[in-house]
Amino acid sequence: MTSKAGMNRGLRTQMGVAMVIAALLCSMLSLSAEAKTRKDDTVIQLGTEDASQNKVKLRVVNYSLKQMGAQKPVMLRGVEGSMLFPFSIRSDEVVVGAKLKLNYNYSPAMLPELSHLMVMMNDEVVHVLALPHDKDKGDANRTEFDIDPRFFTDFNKLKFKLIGHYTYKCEDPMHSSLWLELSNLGVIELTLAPLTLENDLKLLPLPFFDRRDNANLDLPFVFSAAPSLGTLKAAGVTASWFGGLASYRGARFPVTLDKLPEGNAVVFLQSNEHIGTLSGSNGASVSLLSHPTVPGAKLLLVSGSNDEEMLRAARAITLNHNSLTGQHALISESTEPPARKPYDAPSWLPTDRPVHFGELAKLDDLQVHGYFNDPIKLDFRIPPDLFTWRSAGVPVDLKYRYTNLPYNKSSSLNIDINNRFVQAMALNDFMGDGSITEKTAALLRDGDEAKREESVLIPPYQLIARNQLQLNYYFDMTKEGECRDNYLNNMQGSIDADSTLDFSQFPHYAPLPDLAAFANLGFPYTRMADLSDSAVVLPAQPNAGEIGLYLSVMGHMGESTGYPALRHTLVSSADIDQVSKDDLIVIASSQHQDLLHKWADYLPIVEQDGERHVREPNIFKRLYYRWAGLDTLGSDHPEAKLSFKGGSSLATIMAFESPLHSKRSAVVMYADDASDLTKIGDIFYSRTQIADMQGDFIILDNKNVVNARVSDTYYVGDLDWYTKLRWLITQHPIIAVLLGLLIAILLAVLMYRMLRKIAAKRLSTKH
Amino acid sequence: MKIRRKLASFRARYRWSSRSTVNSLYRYGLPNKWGDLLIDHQAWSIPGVMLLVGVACALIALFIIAVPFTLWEQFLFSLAFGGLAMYIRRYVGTLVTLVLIFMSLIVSTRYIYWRITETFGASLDFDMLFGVGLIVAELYAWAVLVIGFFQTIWPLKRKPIPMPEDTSLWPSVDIFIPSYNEPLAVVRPTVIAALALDWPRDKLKVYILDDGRRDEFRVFAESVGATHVTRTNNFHAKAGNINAALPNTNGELIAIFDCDHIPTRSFLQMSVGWFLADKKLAMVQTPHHFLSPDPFERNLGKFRHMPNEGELFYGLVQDGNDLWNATFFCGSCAVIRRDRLLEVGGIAVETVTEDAHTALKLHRLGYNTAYLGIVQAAGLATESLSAHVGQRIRWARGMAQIFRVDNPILAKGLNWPQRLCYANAMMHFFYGIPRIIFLTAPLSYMFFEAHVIQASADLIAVYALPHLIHANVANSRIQGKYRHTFWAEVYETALAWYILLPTTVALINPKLGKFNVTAKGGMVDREYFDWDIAGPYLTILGLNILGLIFGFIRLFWWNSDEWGTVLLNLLWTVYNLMLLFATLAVAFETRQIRKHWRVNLNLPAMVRLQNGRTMTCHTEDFSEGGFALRMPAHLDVEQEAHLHLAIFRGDREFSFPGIVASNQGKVLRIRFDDMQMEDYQMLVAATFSRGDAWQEWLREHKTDHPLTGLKEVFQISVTGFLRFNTLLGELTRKYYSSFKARREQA
Repeated sequence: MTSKAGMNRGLRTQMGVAMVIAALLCSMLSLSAEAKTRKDDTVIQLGTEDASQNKVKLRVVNYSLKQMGAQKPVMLRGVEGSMLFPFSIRSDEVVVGAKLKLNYNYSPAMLPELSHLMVMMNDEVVHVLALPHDKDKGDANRTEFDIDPRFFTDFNKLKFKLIGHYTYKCEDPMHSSLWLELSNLGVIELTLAPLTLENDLKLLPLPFFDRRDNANLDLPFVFSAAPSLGTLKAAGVTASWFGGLASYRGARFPVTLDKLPEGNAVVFLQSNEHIGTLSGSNGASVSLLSHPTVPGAKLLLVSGSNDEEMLRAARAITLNHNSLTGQHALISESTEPPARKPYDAPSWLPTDRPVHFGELAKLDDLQVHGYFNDPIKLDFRIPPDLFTWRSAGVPVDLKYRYTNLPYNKSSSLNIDINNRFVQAMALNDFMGDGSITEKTAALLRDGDEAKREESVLIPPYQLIARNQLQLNYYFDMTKEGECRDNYLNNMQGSIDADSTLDFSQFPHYAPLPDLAAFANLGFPYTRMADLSDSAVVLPAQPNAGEIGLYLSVMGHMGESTGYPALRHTLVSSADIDQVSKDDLIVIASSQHQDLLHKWADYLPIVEQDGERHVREPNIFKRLYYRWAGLDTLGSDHPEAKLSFKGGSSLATIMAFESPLHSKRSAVVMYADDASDLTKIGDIFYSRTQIADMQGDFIILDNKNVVNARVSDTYYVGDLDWYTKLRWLITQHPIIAVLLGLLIAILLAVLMYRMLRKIAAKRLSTKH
Repeated sequence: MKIRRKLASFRARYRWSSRSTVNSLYRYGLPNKWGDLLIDHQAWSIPGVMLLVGVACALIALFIIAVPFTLWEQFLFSLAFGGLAMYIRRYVGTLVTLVLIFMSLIVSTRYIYWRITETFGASLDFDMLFGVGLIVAELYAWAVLVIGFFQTIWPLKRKPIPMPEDTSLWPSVDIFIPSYNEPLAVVRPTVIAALALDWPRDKLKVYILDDGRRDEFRVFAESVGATHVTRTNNFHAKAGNINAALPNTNGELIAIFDCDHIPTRSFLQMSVGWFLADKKLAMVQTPHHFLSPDPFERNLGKFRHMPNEGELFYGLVQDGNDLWNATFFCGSCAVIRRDRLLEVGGIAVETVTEDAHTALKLHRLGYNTAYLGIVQAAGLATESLSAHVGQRIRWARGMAQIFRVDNPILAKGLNWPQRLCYANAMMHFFYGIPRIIFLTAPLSYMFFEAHVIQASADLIAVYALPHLIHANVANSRIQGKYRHTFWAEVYETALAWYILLPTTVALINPKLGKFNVTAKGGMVDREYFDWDIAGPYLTILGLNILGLIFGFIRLFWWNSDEWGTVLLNLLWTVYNLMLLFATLAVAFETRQIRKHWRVNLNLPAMVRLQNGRTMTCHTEDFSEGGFALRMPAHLDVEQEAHLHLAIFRGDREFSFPGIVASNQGKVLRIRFDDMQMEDYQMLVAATFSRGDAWQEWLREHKTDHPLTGLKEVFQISVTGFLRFNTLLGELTRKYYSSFKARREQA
């Protein structure tokens, strides 16, 4: 933390600020020597070389309370109800103006003399709203006010606090008439001015990615007119790194060939290539340059004299960016990181051992305070191929502590997984009338007694690829009667960091193809976090659309694993035999990919007389899919059938078992029109349609994602033979029937022969 | 139609013809041919093959039993497996029966495995309490099913061995007829028939072991040539009686008859042959056959329409035991070698079921027993329900005592099949608690909403129904001739409450307790409802009716969200109600005023009137008191007219004086008055002691079909319901009128 703050500080001392801004800041500083965030900015360089050239482009953004996390209107209750909203400012921008626009409504029962709403920015009171009786009846109150920009930092906390009273006499602090509702559509309007950062690699991933920015990441990648596969692979590795950084925001890498875009971009050039004045250098190198034509914009140039050097440079960015400094870094040599083990992706929960909660969340996030607290949330990702069949549940060994008082009889700790209730534990050690007996007194003395352990089983069917475990403390408030309720806000609860979540008992075994697993966590390709078992197949001369989709996919992989896709193989379709043992991702557009003709028999669509049809599953499978509710291409979606008869606008994802190797997967992403490939990439970019990615066959049109089950199922992973046998029989009860009959007959025959012998002996007269 | 034609042509091409075999529900077809080929295939003679296949099959079976299925998978599995069973059960043959048994074992064990591993609440709570009870009951039922299969898997069907020509090789035989308080009229035909046994006179002695020490008996014994034996005390009842007679007698073999079991003349010829063939043979048992209906048969009106409890035991269980050398001694109609009996110290006296215990002791010394499934004696069944219940209580208590005193599973000297057979015979009598649990299990849900099986209703259905269906199909196949499906449930239900306490107490302390319900005995001279016997069931019945009402409330209002579970419990309750009402029907004692029981008998006969006219005819039925004759045409003869009746056995003629009791159409009834001893002996010789007297045994019943059994039980249950309703109506009216009368008085 301190090093980062220091970095920011250092950054600001040297920055070239536009004149207008400088003037503004100057006036502010003179006004308030105490201004917190910028008190180090002792030297504001006025009239630097940039300042004379351009007018500053101001940008206005609106963050609504909803964007800041309020899914519903915000209700403030009680004598001192408060709510906090965090938001952040990009490091290459600075706030020059801020306005808060609020819609609110409040209880008419509150006394205007005593009641008011405080608005606080980073713990400073910036505004106080009076709550008069004569507000507009029937209409929500609106207000707008400016906030001094000096109160803003990189990470900001906007806090609303209601001070409400309904009587002068003693009152119930939790009286139901004490409320104020803030619409979650209220916004904070920020006017932002750009700050120019220096050209220093140590800032990476700034300015290309800023974690303070909650918007999607849109980062153009630039290549020469005909980049080599090695260059593209270097770009893919870089894209996977940026994808991992972007995480929930979604990332897109628009590709331009032989031309620089207007703004920040990453440029990949080999030493013999150039775009305009920009040319690649000899030896693996990474440079941070100013954009030749667009002021303020930066370029990250990755270059090398051959494919290997390109990759080395990219690897240096993804793995060693912290050690890169200066404008230009030459990577003379780099050691490859050790090979990954299956399922060891950094952002996945380890499934080979019990995992401590401390590994999933910070200690501070494992405790709550007060009667009204947010749930403790633990996010974790699990491999989509965990075989939880017949399991009672995933064991969670929970160790928790809580304030244990005699009067909070109905307190509980509720456990939810993905917003679905799992279990609740009563936190009431004091049974009976609440009087403190000797035993309870002993409990109070001995603090350890308020520490509990509980084994909870999470139902496997409620687990998905990305999960959130929620632990919610509810503390009971006992009403003692008028004038006797004074709530001491001393209720606390915490979860011990050595509580565990244990997936180690589950083997890896799953039916494929499953595009849902692909969409959620890039499975099965991400089984190895560095994608060492995967290959991407591009057409011989990939166009910008194909490259762009490739980068999007890599970004998705990096997001899924939290690790760059260092070891994936990138081949052109002619060389597919080199990667026949790998999991394949095939990207193609407009008949550009001859593989599609070669694999015509395996694809879920068939072309007949120029018309394309979905390959119908055979009758048994169709019945099965119908029964299992998987046949979305059935009669419910006739438009899906029509959509690819037109023939020119098909965009599709198809998953099936690799025709080259059994138990290996192939995912084909195809569009008739290369520009439609972005639709596919946008699934990973906008992340709103991820849930529609299901089955093994997807057709995208302008609005919808239509999915279906068409291909044969195959299984990946390993089970011990006994489990596998049981699983097999469960899948086909008819085997059990036939086996049962067979052994009944054989045992009957054996028994018959034995009994016949015994009977003959019993009836023989020769004794 | 097209499919049917295709099927026909397919069958024709592959000679898949199925024809019914004579006297059988079952067909003979291609599966049978394949089965025969498979049984005698040469591959089996390769050493080790049978072991290998057996082990492999057992492993696969375990696997199938343990493999978990979802609802849908289990449904498909059950449907297909059940369908196969339904298909092959149409074919005849022991092999098919064995296949059905193994299929049932797979499905039922699968069910139990599922019950234990999947439907058991992990926490110890209210539901669990009921759940444990139910699962124990189910485990018991499963164990009895499995051992039952084992016990009856291959009835030996032993045939008699003819005696050698040379009668000097024949062993000498003592006939023991123990009696305590039975009237002479009951004992007399037995003694006479015993004296008439086909056996060298000098090697046959008949002893009346009279614990009543009655002069009347001594006089009678002397008059017919039997020996009257008494002792000074009555220790150990029948067992003590026999043991006391042992030192005073000396036959190599001892045949024991209860005093009302009349032997046929061929009894010894049939049963002694095996003693000569097998030197280690200690005892031969023959079936007990009853001339009169037991209370169940009488009160339900099912005599001779349907097999009773005894027929399962003597027709199947004992025959099945014989394969495993585990035939029990049943106290009567059996022959025992004296030296072997003395070796085990005479008849066992430690328990109240001395017979089974004696056999157990013989088996422990390594001696053999044999069972001959040919009826060679006939007797009277218990008259009243309370007497019947008393008898079963004695058996149950005795078996529980043996289980404690001389546990067959731990006993030395037995081989494992014998242990299992004995264990099952004893376990059978522990059905009291499980049966009561089954009768009340759904109530725990109805009243307390306890989920005794922790699974959804549909899942329970797809697991439990196949288990019940397969078990019933296999059992119906094995036992069809001897027991009708669902009837055993009625028998068990009626007795469950009464054997519950004796067996439990005997298990805890075998010496404790005497639980005999007073035998009322004799004739039931009026119709009445046995409130004492029905009492506990009325309570359970009332609870079940209340449960039914609760169930409907739950179905529509309280628990309409889990209607499947409610429906399942409702169906179960309805089934229980059916059994309970059928039990009530048994408790309605019907009038039983006949002095002598009529026995169907079709023999050539001749009637000679006093005017010398003769007419050949056939007998229809007979009793000690007279005959019914079917005449070729109506015979013009007055009531009370005297005549002579001649009956033929082979070429021997027996002639008796008689009186016309009634003459309606072609049926002429003749009554015997004041028979002379000689005539009486002749009568016994011509009827009870004919060698072929009881050949028709078991042939009178229809073979079982499970659904027919259910229908019959249902009908009986409806009868029980209606009669009980009428009874309640009467009682209410009576009470109301007496109430009214009292008020008027006041």
